[in-house]
Amino acid sequence: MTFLAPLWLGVGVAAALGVLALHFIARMRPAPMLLPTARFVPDLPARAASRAPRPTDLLLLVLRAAAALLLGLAFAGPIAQPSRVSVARIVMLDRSAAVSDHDAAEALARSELRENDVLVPFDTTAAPVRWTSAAAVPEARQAPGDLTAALLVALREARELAPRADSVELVLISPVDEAEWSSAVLPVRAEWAGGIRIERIAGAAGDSSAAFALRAADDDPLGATAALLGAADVPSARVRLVRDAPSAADSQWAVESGGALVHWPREVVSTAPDSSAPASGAGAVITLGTVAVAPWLRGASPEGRPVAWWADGGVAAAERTLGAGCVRKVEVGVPEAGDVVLAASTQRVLRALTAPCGMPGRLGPVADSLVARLAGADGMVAGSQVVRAGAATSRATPWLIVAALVLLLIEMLVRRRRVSS
Amino acid sequence: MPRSRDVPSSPALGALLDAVRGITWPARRPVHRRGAPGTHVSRLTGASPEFTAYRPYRQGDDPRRLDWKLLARTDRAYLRITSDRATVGTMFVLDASASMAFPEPRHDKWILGGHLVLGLAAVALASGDPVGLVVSGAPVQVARPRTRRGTVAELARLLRETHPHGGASLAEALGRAPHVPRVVIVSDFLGDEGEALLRAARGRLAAGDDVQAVQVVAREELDPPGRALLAVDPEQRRIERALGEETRAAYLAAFSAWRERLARDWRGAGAALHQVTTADDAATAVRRIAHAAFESGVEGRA
Repeated sequence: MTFLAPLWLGVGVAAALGVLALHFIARMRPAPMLLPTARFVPDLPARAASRAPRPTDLLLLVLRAAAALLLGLAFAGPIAQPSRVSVARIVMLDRSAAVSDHDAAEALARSELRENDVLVPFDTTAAPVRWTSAAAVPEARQAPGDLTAALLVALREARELAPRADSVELVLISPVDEAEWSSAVLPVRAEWAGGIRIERIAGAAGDSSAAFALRAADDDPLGATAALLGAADVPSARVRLVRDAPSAADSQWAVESGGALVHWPREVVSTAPDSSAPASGAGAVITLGTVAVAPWLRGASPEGRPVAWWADGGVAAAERTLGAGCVRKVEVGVPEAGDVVLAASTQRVLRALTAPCGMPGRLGPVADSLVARLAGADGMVAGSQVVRAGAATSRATPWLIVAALVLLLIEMLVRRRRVSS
Repeated sequence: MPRSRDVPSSPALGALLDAVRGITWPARRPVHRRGAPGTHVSRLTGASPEFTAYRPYRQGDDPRRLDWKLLARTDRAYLRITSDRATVGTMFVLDASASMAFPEPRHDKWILGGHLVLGLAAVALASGDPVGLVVSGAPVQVARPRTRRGTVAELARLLRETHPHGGASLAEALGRAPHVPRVVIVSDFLGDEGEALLRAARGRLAAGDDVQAVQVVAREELDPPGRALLAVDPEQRRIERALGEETRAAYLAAFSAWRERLARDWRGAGAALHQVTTADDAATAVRRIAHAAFESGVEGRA
């Protein structure tokens, strides 16, 4: 047993002694006695303090002193001293759609984990698992990943593990895809004093992100963007972007090959029933992991599973399953003039919308420089350092406070009963 | 209304009457003779056979009062002066307020007051004086003056049926008392109507009556318990004062000063005031009151 703030123990004991001392000072209303000549007694306060030979109101004394001691104990934060291990490890395992081989990732995580370590499987959410030999790794979902959520949970678990470990190590098993990255990752990572060991695994689409075929007119502005991304009209591409009307052969190709047919019409006509939706003007197109602000032309909301949105929440692109493949309809009009199509944000939007079926937002791996910043230079962190840095709490504190409040309530009831009697 | 305790019980009453037997309680001043002659000096002279003195005849004197034998022997006209004797009707006014029921539960003040009334009544009755009693309270109980046998027992029965409580008005009780030559007020005078009572007593004194006040004080009032206590006035419960080491001396001084002022006021008005404590024996107190009347009265001076 140890205390997070042992000074409060002294405060509690001092308060209990103070209560005891006050009970030696009897300040009470004397026993009444009928006296016809009472009027000749000077009119002074009817309560007088005097030193009692023994504590008065023993029951009240016990209740008050116990409440003071319990409050002191509660604020002192008692924590059980667990058996310490040399290294406590927290493994963040990517279970999002960005991972190509989940079995390999799980095997890698199992090799890292030991008894009482913590596994933090994550996609858009992260839930810690206290690792035992019988523990199971949650099934992977075809959902996007979120490194920020994983880091937040891992840091919280690190503070929990720190009191019983000499050192704490964070391990990240992930392809570290751009779809999982956000601007909050590095600020959250800065909360961790040590380094993060990153086991980078292969992403789901490998290097095929750019392998889409574009069918468009020669003067199509989106052609310039595709050229920057290295798109080519190759039959083997798993993604086919058509700017004109898709043909029956296109649909047949998607059904049979499992490819993604992206229909991004050059001409966008707004058919939205609500007149409030602007048909044109500056807007922001948001896909998983990137935002592009430009004078887009807004078309009708497509049907299907949304994969891109406008800034007001309206659907900009949606995907429908078609046989083994899918059809992705994009209702975003690209400006014919200007250099918007050359902007990096436009390239990122195009890359996200030409991802294979079921992997919207797949943008490719994060740059190595960012991964290096995420990993940091230092290694493990001492457990004591984590405890000091974090807000360690005692599980007993709320219960002790409740117990003290119950005692004070009983004290109040006893006191009222005595006054009334 | 509950019965009061032992005011007085038959054995105590018998002992008291035995103790006061033979005591005379003279009037403090000559009284008008009303009805049958008594034992007290009357303001009238010449109506009784008891010789007092000779006085030379003056024009206007009743010639029937001339001492004819002396005139024949000495050839001088003298009147034969004799003293008349009268009875002194006595009314007792007894305070039955809550302050007399002290200390709880013995009610020493009430018992002593009752004993004084009965003892003095017995003494007065022995002189042939009619005796009555007014007990203050709600309602005021009045026993008219009588001289017949058994009057003391009647008064004792009336007292036994009375329980002191509340804030009884002594001034009202005094107003209900029939006019008799002597009025004895037995009280602790702790009511809040002291001036009204003194005014009523002055009226009686102006009418020629003799007013005697007997102040009953409890031993516990003169020497309250040493432990700290919350003194509560039984007649005005809102008066609560802490009586302890710090306030005891001030209390004793204030109480003593008040008693001195009370005695000065009553004596200044022409009344007699006797202070009796519950530590005193009732028969002794009766004897002292009677003796004081003898010392200050016309018979004592004679």
